[in-house]
Amino acid sequence: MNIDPFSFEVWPIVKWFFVFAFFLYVIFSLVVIRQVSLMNKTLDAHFEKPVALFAYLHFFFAVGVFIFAFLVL
Amino acid sequence: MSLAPLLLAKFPIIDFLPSNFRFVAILGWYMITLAFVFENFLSWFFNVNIVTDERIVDIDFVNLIYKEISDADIDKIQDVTVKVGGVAQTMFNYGDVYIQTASEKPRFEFLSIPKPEDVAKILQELRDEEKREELEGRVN
Repeated sequence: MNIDPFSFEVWPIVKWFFVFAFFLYVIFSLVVIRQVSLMNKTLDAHFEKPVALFAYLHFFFAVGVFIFAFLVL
Repeated sequence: MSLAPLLLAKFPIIDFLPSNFRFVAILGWYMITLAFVFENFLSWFFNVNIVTDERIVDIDFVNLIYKEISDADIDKIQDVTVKVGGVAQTMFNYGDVYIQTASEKPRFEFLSIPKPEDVAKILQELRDEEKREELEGRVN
């Protein structure tokens, strides 16, 4: 008799592992936004708006992937 | 790093995962790659060295949670060292400039900057100008 040890318990745990990892990534992207805005205040660089925009896009992407992982897995 | 998931066709090491987990794992890999690239870009972009006629400013963005900003007056500079070493630095004329000051922070490091000799020369001229100003009793 062939019993699949992964069929019942493991995948929900793996799912929450993935979701937690993506949650940490969302926190990381928030830190990036905060740091970029602080550094833009420190420095009067000419390229600050695209960097800030990219930091926000990065954050929204991270949130999107977090929700996607939560729903798909 | 960005091409690594393509190798999964040759080396199916995550084939034991269900397809949705496999997709999210690859997505996660690309996010880690994006984070790595973006953080390296930020640490390059926000590592700034500024030389004015009155002071030098060194802004070090070491990583996302650690940064260091220091400045010193030009007349506090004690010595300037230029280091150009290796084939790449010699070929492309970039290197490090170390500035020793009498102020609290002992050493300013301008790392991997283009034309380091020019920076040292400008610093030398500024220090000479400061000395002249001091001798002549000028404020600026």
